[in-house]
Amino acid sequence: MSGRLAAKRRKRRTRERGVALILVLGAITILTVFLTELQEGTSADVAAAVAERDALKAEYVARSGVNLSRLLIATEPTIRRAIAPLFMMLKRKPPQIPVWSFSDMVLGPFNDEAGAEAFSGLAGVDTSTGKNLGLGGGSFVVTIVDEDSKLDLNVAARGEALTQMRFALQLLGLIGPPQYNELFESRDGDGQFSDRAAICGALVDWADYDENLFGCDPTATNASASGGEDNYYQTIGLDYLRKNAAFDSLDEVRLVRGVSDDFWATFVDPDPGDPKSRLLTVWGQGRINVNNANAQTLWAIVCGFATDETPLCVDPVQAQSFVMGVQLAQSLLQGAPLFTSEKDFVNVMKGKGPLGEILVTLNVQPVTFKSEAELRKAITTESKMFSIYVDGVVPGRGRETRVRIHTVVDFRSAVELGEAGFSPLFGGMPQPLPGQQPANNEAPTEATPEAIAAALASNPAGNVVYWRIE
Amino acid sequence: MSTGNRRQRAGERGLTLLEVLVSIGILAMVATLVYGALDGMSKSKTTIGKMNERYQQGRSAVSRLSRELQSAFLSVHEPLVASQSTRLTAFIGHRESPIDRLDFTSFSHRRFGRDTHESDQNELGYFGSRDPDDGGLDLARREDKYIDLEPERGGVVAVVAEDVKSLSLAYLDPLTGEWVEDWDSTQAAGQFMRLPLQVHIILVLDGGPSPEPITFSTKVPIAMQAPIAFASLNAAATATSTVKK
Repeated sequence: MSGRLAAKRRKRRTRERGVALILVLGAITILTVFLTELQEGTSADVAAAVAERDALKAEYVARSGVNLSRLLIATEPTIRRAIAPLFMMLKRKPPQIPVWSFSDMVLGPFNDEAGAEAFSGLAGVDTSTGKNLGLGGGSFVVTIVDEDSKLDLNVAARGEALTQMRFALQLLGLIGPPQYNELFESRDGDGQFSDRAAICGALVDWADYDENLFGCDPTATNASASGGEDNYYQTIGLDYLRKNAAFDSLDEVRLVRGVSDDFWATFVDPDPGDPKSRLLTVWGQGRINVNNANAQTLWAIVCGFATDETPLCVDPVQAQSFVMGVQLAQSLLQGAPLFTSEKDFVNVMKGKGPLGEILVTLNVQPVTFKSEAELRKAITTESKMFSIYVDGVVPGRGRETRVRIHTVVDFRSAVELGEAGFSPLFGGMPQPLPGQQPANNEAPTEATPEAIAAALASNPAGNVVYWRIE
Repeated sequence: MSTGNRRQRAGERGLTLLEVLVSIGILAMVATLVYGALDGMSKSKTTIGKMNERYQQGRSAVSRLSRELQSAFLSVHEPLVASQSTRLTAFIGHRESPIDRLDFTSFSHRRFGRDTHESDQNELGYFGSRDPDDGGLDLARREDKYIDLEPERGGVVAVVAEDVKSLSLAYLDPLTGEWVEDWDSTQAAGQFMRLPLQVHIILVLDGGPSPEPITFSTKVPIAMQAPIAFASLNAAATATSTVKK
């Protein structure tokens, strides 16, 4: 009896239809698909907004790094004055202190915790008790490059045949070694053949003011003996003409004949990750800083002015000893200046003074210069043009946002920090000091573009001549 | 066997019309509720998506313009003979309704191709343009990878923001400390060879699904105030005289 009842119940259950359950399951499935899509869309939107926010934050962190770097460079004269008595005892002029070489450590307290620790290690000061120090949620990485330690392409724009020839000598010294032959023997990116002399001449012709083709032949007696400039760029189908004026930025060099990506990566910027390794510049003051230039550049400078039969320039063994000696001295001094003046450098190369004697013991024979005065005009011991590369870094979940600002600052006409009268507003025109009778609100009558430029150039933190955000 | 089947069928109760109607009614109600909920969500999702897109477009347009403006420059690196000049650097902003026009030269060009003869310099222009499809106003950006003698013409045009209600630009004159609506660095009567201290950007976008327009506003400082002249003959002379002092 009970068995029959159970069978009946089973039969009844099989006949029941679960429509509601199917409905619910269906709705849940659709909802799941829908919500997943919604969630994904929203996550993408949030990620985009967060990326934008982080990029803005990183940009401002980088700007802060740029401002601090400018301030650091501007403090150099003050530091130099502080140590001047030491050098006066030695009867020497105090040299420029390369404060920019230690930017990461000195600017540490204004950076993130790691930077503050680096500063504490350097100065033995606990920055944690300081107020308003440090950055929250980001950090910056500063690299300051002394542009006066590089070969300046803009010296060609000075319009002096001698300067151009000196530049040609230095450039040919850089691109001359035979291992680069392949670069100049095949067709370039434009399908043209451009040898060393053609590229060197094209670089000079781009920047010089004349209409004469520059031969780039150091043995020629006349610098412009090759006839008039041609219309090369139009002939190969490019939409621009030779500029006949100075380069505005380093990347403008890419417009010049024969400057391909390979040329750039070999001679201009061998390691884009390390701006200090750059060899050429357009932002120099036209004189190479012998304290910061690398050994090869120094050798090229010395040999550009030495007499033809100078052993240092014709004997590879002596050249190598010189390069090694300079590299050793630079690594030992860790950025501290070797020479206090241009005259000092000339004397050392002539084998005079303690440094000169060291060179002689390294088998580098004293150098005789064709014209010491000319050499002294081409070198300096004070850098005035600096490239500041700052990476603003904002860490995020699983990624890192980086924004790089590259700026070049000209300190040639900068007044010393603390000197009154400069105002960043109103075009940098001299403003009355607090407490003085204020001038009327009208624009100064003598506010010509030249006056404004001159006033701006007196900014103690230098005059910005290049600015780019990557 | 057949008698058993018949008995079974007789035991099954059929559904009355009323039962069927009620169940269909309930089903329809449930389905409507579910659809209503889903449709509502789908509509709000689309609306939010469109709004997000509007914000995204506005933000990226403003951030692009701001970054490019920061690199704006003027240069006096020119040939000695003016007739040999091959390029003109400029900063020209005009009040135009409803989208202001701005043309300038900057260091913001990006190279993409291998061995291309392109530098980091360019000519940029921002202006309003009618969409040929729906007649709406777009904010267009013009970029010429070579600076030539016509800073207001040439290059490739691309739309950076659609359905723009207005773009207002104002320039802070560093000499007077006042905001002006026009700027021309090429005219002696304008702001000859000068750049503004800051540029105030107000971009108003049509809200899309929302009746309220979306406003983006920012002030951008320009890094290079004076024309760049670091390698000109005059600059060299000035530097030498300063050193002598």
